[in-house]
Amino acid sequence: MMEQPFGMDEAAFRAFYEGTRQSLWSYIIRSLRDTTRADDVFQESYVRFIQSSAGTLEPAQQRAYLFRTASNLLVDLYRKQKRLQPMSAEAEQMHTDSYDRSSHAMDVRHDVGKAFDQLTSQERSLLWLAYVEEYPHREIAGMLKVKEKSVKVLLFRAKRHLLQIAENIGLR
Amino acid sequence: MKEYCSREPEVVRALKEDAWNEGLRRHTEDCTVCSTTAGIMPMMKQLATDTLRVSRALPSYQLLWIRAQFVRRQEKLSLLDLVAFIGALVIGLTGLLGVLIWKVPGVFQSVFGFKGPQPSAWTDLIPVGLPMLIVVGGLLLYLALSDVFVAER
Repeated sequence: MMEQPFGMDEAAFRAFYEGTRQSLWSYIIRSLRDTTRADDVFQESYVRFIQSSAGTLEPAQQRAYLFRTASNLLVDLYRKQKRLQPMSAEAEQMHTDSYDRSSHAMDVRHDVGKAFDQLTSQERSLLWLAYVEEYPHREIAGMLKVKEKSVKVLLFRAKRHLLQIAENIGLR
Repeated sequence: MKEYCSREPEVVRALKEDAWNEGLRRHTEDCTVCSTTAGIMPMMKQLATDTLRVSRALPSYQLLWIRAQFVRRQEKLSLLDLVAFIGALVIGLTGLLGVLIWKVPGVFQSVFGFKGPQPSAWTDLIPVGLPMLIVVGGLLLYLALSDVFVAER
């Protein structure tokens, strides 16, 4: 059976992976707060990227495509979580413990992480994409499946929410 | 209330690179949107740095490359299964119809006015086992062609 080539070859993928993996992981783990699911989303994002024709795009577009894929997976996961019954207490505790261990290791100023974790999943994704990755609003709208106009409003609310939480826990 | 400011990207850049000018600083103080951004940016910078600082054991690129190939093969196989199933179904139904016409022509006579093949013509021209050979050959040919079809998708 003839093997159809992917959008990029193995060497090109290696270079792309080395250049994006840490940023993508940071985005996913900060948005999801669950190391096990973050691992799944991380791997699935790259697998979908390899299988797509995105390898032929410009480097910046490739990166945007990867983040868009990860965001779509995150949005699907949030929606699925909303539909499902709440996790059992035991499972919830397991996820929280696992995340807390890695989260604590991540945050030198643990309180900043704690404040960020109190935001909704959508707010976390919005803030990360806008102020860490610096994607324009139009790009974020496509990634998170919301209207461009809504991004402006939601971002403003997310910022105010984060400031309010920071104030409540004495960070400001 | 104003929820977006066109100068926000400038403010974000200035905050990240610590490169301010007086005009931008004054604007940030007066603008609700930009002052909110200025309020959260130190936290975002801190989070980004802290998250990057921890080197988590992420999978190697080879693992993901192999996984992508495996997923593609799985997809091809499931499509091949479906095509083979439909092909076998079509051949099977055609064969069944043929047998019915051959063995029970009465059914078709009453429904369609079809008289069926004349026994002498069929038995004289087709040796025993040839229909089965044609069916098996057709099936193999179909599978081979469907394989090419799937590979070229």
